[in-house]
Amino acid sequence: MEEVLKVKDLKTYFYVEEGVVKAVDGVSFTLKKGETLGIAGESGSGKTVTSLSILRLIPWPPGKIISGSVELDGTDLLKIPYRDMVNIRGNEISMIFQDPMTSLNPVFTVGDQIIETILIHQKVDKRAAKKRALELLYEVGIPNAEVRFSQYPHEYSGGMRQRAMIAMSLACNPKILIADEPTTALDVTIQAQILELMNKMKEEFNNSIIIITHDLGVIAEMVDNLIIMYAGKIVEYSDVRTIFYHPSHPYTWGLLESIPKLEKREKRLVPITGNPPSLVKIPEGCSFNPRCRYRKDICLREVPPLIEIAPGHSIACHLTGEERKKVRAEVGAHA
Amino acid sequence: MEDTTKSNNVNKKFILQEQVDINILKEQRREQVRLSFKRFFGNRLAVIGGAIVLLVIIIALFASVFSAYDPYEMSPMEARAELSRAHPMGTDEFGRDYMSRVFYGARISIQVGLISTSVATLFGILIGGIAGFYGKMVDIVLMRIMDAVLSFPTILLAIVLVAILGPSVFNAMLAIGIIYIPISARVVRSAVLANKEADYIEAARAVGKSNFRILFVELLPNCLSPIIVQATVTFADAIIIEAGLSFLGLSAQPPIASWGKMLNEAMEFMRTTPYLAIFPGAAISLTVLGFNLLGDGLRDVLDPRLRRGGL
Repeated sequence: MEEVLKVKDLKTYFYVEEGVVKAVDGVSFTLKKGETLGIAGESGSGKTVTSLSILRLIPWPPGKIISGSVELDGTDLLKIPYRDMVNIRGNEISMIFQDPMTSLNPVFTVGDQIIETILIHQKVDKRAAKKRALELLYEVGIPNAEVRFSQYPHEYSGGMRQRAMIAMSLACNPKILIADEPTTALDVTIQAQILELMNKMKEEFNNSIIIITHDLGVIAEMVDNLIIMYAGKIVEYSDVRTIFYHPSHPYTWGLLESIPKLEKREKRLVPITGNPPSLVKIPEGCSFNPRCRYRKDICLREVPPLIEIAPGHSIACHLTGEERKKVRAEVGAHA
Repeated sequence: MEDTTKSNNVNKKFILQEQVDINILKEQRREQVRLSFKRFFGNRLAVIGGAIVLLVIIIALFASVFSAYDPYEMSPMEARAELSRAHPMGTDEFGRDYMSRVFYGARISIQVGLISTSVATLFGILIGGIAGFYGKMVDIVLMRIMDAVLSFPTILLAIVLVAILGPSVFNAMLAIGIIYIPISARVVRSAVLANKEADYIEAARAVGKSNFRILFVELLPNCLSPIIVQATVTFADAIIIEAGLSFLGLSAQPPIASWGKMLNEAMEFMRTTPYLAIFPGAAISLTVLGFNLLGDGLRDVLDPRLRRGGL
């Protein structure tokens, strides 16, 4: 399949008083047409910064993309002039945010906001834009779209606002939709509806989605390929089945162990001990080493490179294949 | 067959339910407006302020209708006439009808308020908006300039500016406007700072809106409440300062009827005909009081912390 987006060795650092925060530190991945890519990890692992870097929305100061490339159909977005980048936002790549309650401008009607987005990027007259905006509202399942069109965001419920956000972000039929925890602020039934809607819209518009979440349920529902991030680095990258059934990085094991399972009655969940590291003082060697149960000497000294252990399955870990097998046999089927 | 009717029924029910929802929403929107009005009209002082302001504006607009005499027509025989039915506020030293002059004076004051406030607010929005939005060096440079202007005593700076520009009502308005730019700029800047980190601004960036558009189209409408409140305060201050400048002979020149100038001319006759000073003085105080009360009332209505949020 055609590759739409190619991120290579992306590094985004924040220069703060305490030092340099390596929020994204050498992230590479590719996104194919029609693919849904998930980026998962704890808070502060660099998921959101990765996505903001793709759109060059990192505020300077303190943040800066210091190296790497983000190629959209072969053009490096980090090298094009700012004007062109503004044109790409919303048009080629658009983004929806975590909290739909605050992502819409409170002083304009939802319809006007969608119309504006269309008018910015497309050479159509206002009437055509309005027609398109109405269609979009209808398509994202907002009932009584004509009336809802001229209502203000505070008159929408949370789920409807997220639908409106999706409508707005799809207004110009972008190649890539980045969704930053699109369901975190919604309640569970609405979450399911929004995810279903995103899947439906993806099929209809034939675009690609990058979905950022820490909810493994969302991942299972939506994602084709999955990136697990830890402390600004990719620790495991593969298709979602492989990661769920053959996770290979100790951090991924930890993540999967810490969700309750329906089929097994467990006494107690196994959490990952410790806290995520401060990004100013990332531990030497593998950044996960202070929390890793399988730590070896080398982990304290050397940063493990991201290596492919099977076709399409990469991890960044010093454990050898033999060691991983042994651990898996010990812990049981899941890990 | 049965299936389709069933789904049709479900659909109908759904639509009906939606209709009900919509009606509730509409009702809620009306309720919000009602609440705002209620808050404003519940504030007795604000209503009084609004009434005074309205009265002054009407007098200013229709000064020619309300005045029985030409405010510039002199009749030396009737100089400093007593209060009478023909001249409810008496006449001045040249025998001009004082009430007509007070009415025409409202025109000057309202004009001054309008133009000074417009200058101050417009440039304040521009400077404060840009400083707050772009931050960093832009902010530092612009706001230090504003601080420098702000460090002069208001009246003194006004006098200096008018001295440079030459004494006239228009120049006085300009000077007052310029003096109030820093104050507006500060208000706008703080409002912009408070709103610019909002999610909808980031969302606007993400759909490709330009900085210019984000600042002036997305951000500023959200900063309107403090700007409006500040404008009413500036309006009142401008009237006072203009009266002061007129009093000092730096604004309206004779024979223009301006409250400050009238006060100045009445000074000589304070012992014999004190009402010549009292009427324009009362007009100034009342107008300023009206605008200040209105400003307070508007703040109560517009302050988002007092407003009940969405659903």
